[in-house]
Amino acid sequence: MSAEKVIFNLLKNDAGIVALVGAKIFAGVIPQETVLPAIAYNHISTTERTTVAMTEASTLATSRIEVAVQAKDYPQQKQLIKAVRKACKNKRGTIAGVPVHSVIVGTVGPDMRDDDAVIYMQTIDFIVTYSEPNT
Amino acid sequence: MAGRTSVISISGATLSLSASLPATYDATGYAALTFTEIGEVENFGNHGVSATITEFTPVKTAVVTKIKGTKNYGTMALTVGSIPTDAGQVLLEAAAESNNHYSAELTYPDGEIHYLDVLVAKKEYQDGSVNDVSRLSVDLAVCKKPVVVAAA
Repeated sequence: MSAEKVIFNLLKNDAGIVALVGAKIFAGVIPQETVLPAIAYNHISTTERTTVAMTEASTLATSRIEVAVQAKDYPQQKQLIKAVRKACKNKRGTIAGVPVHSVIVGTVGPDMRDDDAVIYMQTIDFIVTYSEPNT
Repeated sequence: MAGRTSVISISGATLSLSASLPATYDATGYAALTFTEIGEVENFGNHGVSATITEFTPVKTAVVTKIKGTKNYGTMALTVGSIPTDAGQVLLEAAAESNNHYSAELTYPDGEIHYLDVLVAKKEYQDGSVNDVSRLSVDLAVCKKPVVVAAA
C-alpha cells in the first residue's frame, strides 16, 4: 500500500542510492542471480488510528517498512545501509502522491552473512506515518 | 422506556455540540436544536450520575449507616484528534473560552441519543513526541441529568 510506495520512491530518486545500486531496488526478494549490491523492501506492519464515528475522509496510519541491503563485502554493506538511512530518514510532505507526516528510523538490524554465497546483509526499518484515504 | 435489548459496540457513535439551549430540557426541546458534529473523537470517556455518600456510625450498633448526598453528573473526558478547521472543534474552542452552557448530543449507532447540558471546562492541546498524534483533551462538565431518547 502507501508506505511501500513512499520508501520505494525515496530510494529510487536518491542520487546516492542510484550511484550504488542503479535500478536494483526490489519489492520483496532480491532475485538470486542479481549482481550485488542490491536493495529489497518489505511491509512489516501497519496500525491505523481509530475514531469512534469512523466517518473521516482519511485515516492516520503508521507502517513499518523493512529495507534489506545485500552487498559483496562488509564495507559495501555499511556504505549501502548508511545511504538508505540518509535517503529515507526525516522525510515528510507529499511523496509518491502520499501525504507523509514523518519517516523515522525504527531499528537497524544486525550484520548478517551468507558465507557460502559470500553475501553481506543488513536491514533497517523505517516507521512511516501518513494519511490513508478512506474513499 | 423501550430501547436496545442487547449490548452494542459504540463504533459509529457521534458527538455533536450546539451553542443553543433547549426551550424545555426534554427530548422535544433538544430535538429542535441544530447540532454540529465534533470530528476525530477517539474516546468519549464516561458520563452519568455519581452521588456523595455520607457515613454515620452510632456507637451503640457500630454499623456504618450510609446516606446518599449530593448528585454530580460528572465530566465527560474526551480525546480528540486536533483539526483546527473542523466545525465542531471550532465550536469547542468558543465554548472553552465562554462561561455559557452548551448542549451536547451523543448519538449511538443504534439510534439511542443522550442529550447533555454541558460547560466546556477544558480544551487542552496534547502534543508529546515524534510518534504522537496531535490531540486535544476536552472536558465536558455535565450540569444536568442526561436526557435519554431510546433507540426506536
